[in-house]
Amino acid sequence: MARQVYRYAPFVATNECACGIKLPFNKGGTAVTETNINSGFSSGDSTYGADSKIDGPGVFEQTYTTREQSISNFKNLLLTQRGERFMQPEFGTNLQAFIFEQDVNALYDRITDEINSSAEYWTPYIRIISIDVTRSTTREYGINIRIVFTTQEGGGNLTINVLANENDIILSNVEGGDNARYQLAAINNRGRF
Amino acid sequence: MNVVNKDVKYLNKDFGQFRQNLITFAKQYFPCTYNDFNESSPGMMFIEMASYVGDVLSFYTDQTFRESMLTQAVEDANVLSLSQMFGYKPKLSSPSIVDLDVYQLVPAIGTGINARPDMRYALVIDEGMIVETDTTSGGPAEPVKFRTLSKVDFTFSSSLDLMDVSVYEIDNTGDVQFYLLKKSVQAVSGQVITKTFPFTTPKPYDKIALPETNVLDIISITDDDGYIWYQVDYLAQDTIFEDIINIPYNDQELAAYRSTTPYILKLKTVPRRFVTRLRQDNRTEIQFGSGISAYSDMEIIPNPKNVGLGLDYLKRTTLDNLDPTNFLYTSTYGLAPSNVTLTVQYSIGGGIKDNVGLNTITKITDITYNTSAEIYGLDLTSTKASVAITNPAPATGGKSKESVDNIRQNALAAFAAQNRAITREDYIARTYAMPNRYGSIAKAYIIGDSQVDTSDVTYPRDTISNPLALNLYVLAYDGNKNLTVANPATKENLRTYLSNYRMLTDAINIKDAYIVNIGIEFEVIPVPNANSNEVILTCINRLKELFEPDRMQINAGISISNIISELDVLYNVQSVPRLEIVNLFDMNKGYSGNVYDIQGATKNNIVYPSLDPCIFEVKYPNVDIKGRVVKP
Repeated sequence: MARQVYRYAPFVATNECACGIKLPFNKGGTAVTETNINSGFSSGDSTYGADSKIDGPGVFEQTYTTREQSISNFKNLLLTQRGERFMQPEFGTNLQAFIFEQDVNALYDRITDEINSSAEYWTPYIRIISIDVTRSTTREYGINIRIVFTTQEGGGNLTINVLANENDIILSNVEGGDNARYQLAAINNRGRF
Repeated sequence: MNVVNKDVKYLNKDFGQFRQNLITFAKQYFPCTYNDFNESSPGMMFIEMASYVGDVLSFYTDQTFRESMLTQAVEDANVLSLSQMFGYKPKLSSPSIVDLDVYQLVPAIGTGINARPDMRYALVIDEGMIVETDTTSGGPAEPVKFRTLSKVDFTFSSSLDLMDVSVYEIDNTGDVQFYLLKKSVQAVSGQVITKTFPFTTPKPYDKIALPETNVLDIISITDDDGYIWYQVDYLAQDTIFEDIINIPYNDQELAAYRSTTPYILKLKTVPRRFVTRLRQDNRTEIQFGSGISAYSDMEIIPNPKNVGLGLDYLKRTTLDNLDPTNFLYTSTYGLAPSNVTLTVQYSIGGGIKDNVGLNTITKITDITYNTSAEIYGLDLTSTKASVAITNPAPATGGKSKESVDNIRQNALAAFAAQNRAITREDYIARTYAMPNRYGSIAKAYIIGDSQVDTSDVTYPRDTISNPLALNLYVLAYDGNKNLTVANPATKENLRTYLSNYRMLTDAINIKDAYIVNIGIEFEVIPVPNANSNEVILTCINRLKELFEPDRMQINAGISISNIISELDVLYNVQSVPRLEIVNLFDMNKGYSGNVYDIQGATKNNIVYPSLDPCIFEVKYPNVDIKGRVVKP
């Protein structure tokens, strides 16, 4: 059965209409309010992943550009195990399962294929440029996945780092340019971002 | 503040519909709050979770509704509860039923041709005799117990309760020493258990649960004051049938018909009553009534003194809640046991294993006699010792617990049948269902009553229907299976029996149908080379079958064409050129005496019955059916 891909609302320059909600939820325990929506929010590449904290209670942070929302959706796809989502059993990636596979070179190709195929189907608005899978240098049973991608809205390349180990899957913030390498170093050092 | 009335759709049933409508709802009412409806979006996860909850709630709403209907329910507990609500009592297991032959010896009295059984030695064995299979003579490894359902009365013999008498022992001179009496009685399998339950303070609708999970039947409940507690179908049922023996002491007039109607049916009011219910854990629960006052319902008339402030012993005030169904605490729903100990006797067991083979039930383990022979001062020791039993046919009917589907179907059938007569068929079925010991009705036919229209002066013979009354025409069989009018005792029992099922507004006139005796005369052309005698014999035998009393019905006509067709198809018959129905009425020859103009009643080869319902009967088929072979 053909899958209907819902179209996003067009980019709203005035930031009056929200697109969706961000991952992770409630980051910083703040939310966008009407009074500070214009002053505190930036949609430039350099602010992706950084805390766009705006004072005021709330649960979810809203996104105001499709690009910003696309990145949250991509994160959601990577963090969801296949079969986990009710009534969408094919949604997600099987990264968790790969951790318990034999650590051979073929595994890295399978991980790359898994991410590529899932993203192609569920987030067609994400264009993956490269995926690097390496063994973690600091954790015995962990792998690092570095995904360089861009969104159809345009803009430069973005990078997200995934650290998968036997306990969980940790995503870094999405960074533009070389910032991504620092993020990866931070994950490896602290174990959790 | 501006309140917007949001258009909420209530017709969503499943996940997909909920999801779609929530998306539409968000688009319509929150266009600037949320716009990303892609599956990958975290917000969609919440919409889908809400849809999931909706789907689950929808499912349980459907399921709850479905489980409330007997035809759709699938869960055991629900089917069980619903079937009992419909008045059906599910069976944990079914007992096996067997016909037992019971024997006893009686000495002979008189000699030579005057020898006959000395019936002073005849015994009466109470119902409830416990017998079991003999494990040493081919029976099952574990003995299976049965108990008799009615008494065995060797002092009495009738066509309904026949006693077989045969010579058992002859002495050297050729005189009979002992006769063997044989009677049949029905017995049912199951082990009888007796338990006591003490009751102290009266509690309306008190319940007790029997510990076993394979209870077949509650045999009796008695209290330590000697009262019997009766099982009823529902607590509001305050009467039960009771049969009393049809002897002059009980009814001088009806006792004359004792040979065909050995028992008279009576309705008895029973304030001490109970109902049984099957619980989900397969235990049988016994529930008693709510009445605390021992007075009959009829003896207390509600008035301001006994409602609310009255009934001092209850210390009730108007502030107390009143049970509108029984505010007087009378025995409307039966009495609640108080300060007594109830002895409950019940049977357990049943199942396939109880279907034992023939001649395996030979041991008597418990027997009581209800005989008046002691009044003759006779020693009955050896007579009692001579009692023996066996089962000439295998026991059948034992089966394990009913399946859910069976319970469902049986409950629906029970509901359709109900314990009341509404339609014409209900009355006829009830009439036929009357137990034989109250007299047997062979034919029943019911029709609305009609009266002569006296206001019609032009055609005074016209009739108008009487909507308030029904005429039930009945007939019985005599000893030769010929139709005869039912005796008054049988009709009295039928009246009592029907009264329990009759609608309040229905009046039933129990009448005798007319018996029109007929003969059949026919001519037949045989096939070539057929033996004439054989052809006649074949035709007569076929006609005997067609006019068998069981196949005839009150107010049913006779289609001569159909009868001819039936003969035509016989292998040695070529055609039937003539077949005539004639009326036989000579009372001296044993006929009914009813004269009927058969020719006048025949239209288009169909013999129609009379306006006053009658039944056609070939009383003596061996002489009343006459045939002749003719050549073509």
